[in-house]
Amino acid sequence: MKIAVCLSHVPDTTTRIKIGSQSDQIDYTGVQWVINPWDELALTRALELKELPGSGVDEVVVVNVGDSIADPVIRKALAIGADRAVRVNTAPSDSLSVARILAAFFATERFDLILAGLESSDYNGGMTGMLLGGVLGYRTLNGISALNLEAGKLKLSREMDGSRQILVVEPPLVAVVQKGIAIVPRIPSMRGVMQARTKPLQVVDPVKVEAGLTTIGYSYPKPKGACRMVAPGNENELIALLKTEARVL
Amino acid sequence: MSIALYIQGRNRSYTPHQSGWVAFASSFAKSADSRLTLITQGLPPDKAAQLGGFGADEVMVVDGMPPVSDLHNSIEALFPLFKEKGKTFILFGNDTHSKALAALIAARLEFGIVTGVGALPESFSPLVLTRKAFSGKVLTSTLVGKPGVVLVFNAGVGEAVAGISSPVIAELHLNGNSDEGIVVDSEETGDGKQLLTDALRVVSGGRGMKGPENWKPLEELASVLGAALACSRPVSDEGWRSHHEHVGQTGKVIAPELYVACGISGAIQHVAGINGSKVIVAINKDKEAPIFEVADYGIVGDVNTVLPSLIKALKE
Repeated sequence: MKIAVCLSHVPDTTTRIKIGSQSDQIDYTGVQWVINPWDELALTRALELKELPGSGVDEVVVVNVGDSIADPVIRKALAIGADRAVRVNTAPSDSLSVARILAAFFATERFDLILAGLESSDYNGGMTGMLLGGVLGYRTLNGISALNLEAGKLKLSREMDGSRQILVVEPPLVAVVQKGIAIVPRIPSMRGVMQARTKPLQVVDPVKVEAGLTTIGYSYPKPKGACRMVAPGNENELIALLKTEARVL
Repeated sequence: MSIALYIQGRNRSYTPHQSGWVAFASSFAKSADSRLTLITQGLPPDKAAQLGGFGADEVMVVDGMPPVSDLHNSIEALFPLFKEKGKTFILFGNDTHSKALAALIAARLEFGIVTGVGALPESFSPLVLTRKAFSGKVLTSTLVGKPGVVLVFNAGVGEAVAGISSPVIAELHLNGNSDEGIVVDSEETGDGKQLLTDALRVVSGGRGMKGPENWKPLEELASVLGAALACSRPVSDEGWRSHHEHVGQTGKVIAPELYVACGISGAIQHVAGINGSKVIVAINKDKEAPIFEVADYGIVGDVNTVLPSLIKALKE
């Protein structure tokens, strides 16, 4: 069995996001790039599965859509334990375009299981994984919070709003995963970092897609008004404010 | 122009967020000078009609659908309906099932897709939408280049007023195929417990609670308020509470009317999960804690003394 993990590179969550002088782009100067948090959990689970005795998982491959800015992040994924990496060489745009670019790659190399994170922490769109499944025509499920292998099939839990199903699914499958698939992401070992230097990172050309959406401008949200402080001991006052001013009680 | 909104019922009824989506879709349709068709699944006709009364012009009550885990066949079954009723806009809420259908229908129709929609468009022609990105740090304006678009609404949008429209109701039985490659092994339903993502009030605890043994006052406050319980990431990572209660960037993203953060410092990852809340109350002993930058009301004090007096005051 071959597992692919779709991997986005994103600015570290604590990074300040600066809008460029033309306000039609983000100024990424000095930004620290990291593996998208959900993709890191997906990679962690893929590696855990591969290491199970008799798992039948031959390979875990990370697949990125990005320019060379993503390379250090991809190397980190290799250091964590992925066997090899593929980078489709283009800056990612809207989710449907990325999904089409990924689908074109997955048409050239077949995987039994493709994992994608719930969303990327930059644009928070949360659609690429499902769109990929839709374009590729594979079985596709979102809300996946646990994943196991069982006699060549995939046993997973799907968290719906209000219910949880345990499903047994025949590959190939695109699974959009969330917290629970793994709890704490793996970090690279020293040995992993050394090995990552020589693991294959294949760069492939993207197919041409026409972007349907364009980001035409950025702005900062209005600053929130000051927090109204209530002295401890005056909890009655807080309740009165919530009733009469905020009207939420 | 035609606009369709899809809603899947919950336990054969609907949630406040869902009625908000109908109301919001209705103002959307009015601004676009169009009719709104509500497509429901998993709702009896009387409930679907009630839900449609929040602003739809027409309700299509669908049954006979493939199982919810069989997403491709679900889309196959719904496809003709979406194609006819959602020529310009197909709208969804942001629950897990709706998001899945939103993506698959967009892929199928080659529609653009924009999620995280919490406001009416800046303009309809050309279509420009504003949404939050980078976990709320910036706003982006997105231009949709060609007609035909799928939108996913945030939770907490819309001012729901019951009975403001009297929609035409039609029942429709769809016959979907089903995929034998997906077998439901077992299913747990939420035994009627309030869901964190549905809750209009949420009480949440952080590391400042000092340990799982100190959750009693939070449980009591939640019960007095009729609120759901949540926690910050360190709390679930330490195993003090289940990770199902984790709200924040990598946990659940929620948008209640009232969020009470107790002993939570307000790291940016946490704020990313709660900044859609209408009103945030923070209780923290550190007056410099970043949670006070996003809170509307705050008490600087020890949760162990503030919570009991808050509960006492609420009970009076």
